[in-house]
Amino acid sequence: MRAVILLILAGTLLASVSHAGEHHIGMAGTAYAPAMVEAKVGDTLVFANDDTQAHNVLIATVGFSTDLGKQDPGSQTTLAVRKSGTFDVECAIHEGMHARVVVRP
Amino acid sequence: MRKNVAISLAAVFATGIAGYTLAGPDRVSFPRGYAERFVLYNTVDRPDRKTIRFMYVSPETHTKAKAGEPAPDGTILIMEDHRAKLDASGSVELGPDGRLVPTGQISNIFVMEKRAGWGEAYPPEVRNGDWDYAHYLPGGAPKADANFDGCFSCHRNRAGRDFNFTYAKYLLDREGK
Repeated sequence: MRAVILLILAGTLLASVSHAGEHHIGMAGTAYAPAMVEAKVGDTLVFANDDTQAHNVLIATVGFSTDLGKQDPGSQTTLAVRKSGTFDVECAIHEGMHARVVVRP
Repeated sequence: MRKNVAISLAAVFATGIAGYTLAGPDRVSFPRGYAERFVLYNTVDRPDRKTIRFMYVSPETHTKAKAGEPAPDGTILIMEDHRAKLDASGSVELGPDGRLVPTGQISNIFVMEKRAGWGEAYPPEVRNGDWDYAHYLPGGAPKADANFDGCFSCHRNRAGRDFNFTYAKYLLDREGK
């Protein structure tokens, strides 16, 4: 009985660990790729500037609003998503550069 | 001919200089009592600066503002920087929602205001519609060494939505557009 409980606990722990994932978002060609991301609470978004010019990550959606600052080529920034909902990502430098992130519980 | 060119260049240069010197408290006054009177429409975490930005809009124009349209004449937008709460190691603390936790310590107050005709003072490559800017310290004193080049150049990146980042987005989201 005790072994069964331990196995269940271990399974639960492994399942929760596997939920926390990383989502890599590139910026080459002045476009976020992918432009649509589905994540879960606890996941991390990794924004990698693989372009040849500076970009930025600005989220202006109320409740999620964050500005990660100017990001030079070759650098990356991370953002942990800690609550569910949908928010838009935009580059403060390039008006047409957008992505959307849907965070599920 | 050479003299005419020299005079023209001097006039252009003088216009440019005059334009830049207009930005600041001479035009955009400190909106006293804004924290009580204005509408707080968003807060923006700035983790790299350990700052949370409180975004306010003037209530008189807010009631007339519509998504996808230029902000009404007379609109005042304020970005009030609060220092974030830090832990013992100097790292930012996060609240239960994963957001930075603001303290009452305000470091800067940036004001942008829109008045019909204000933009005419600036050369086309600088102009932000009819918006102008000012930078104040807590208490309302103008920041002595304020430089507005960054305001104009950064906000030009949103020429397609009336030169602002968060307010236009707020209106679009509010109206589901």
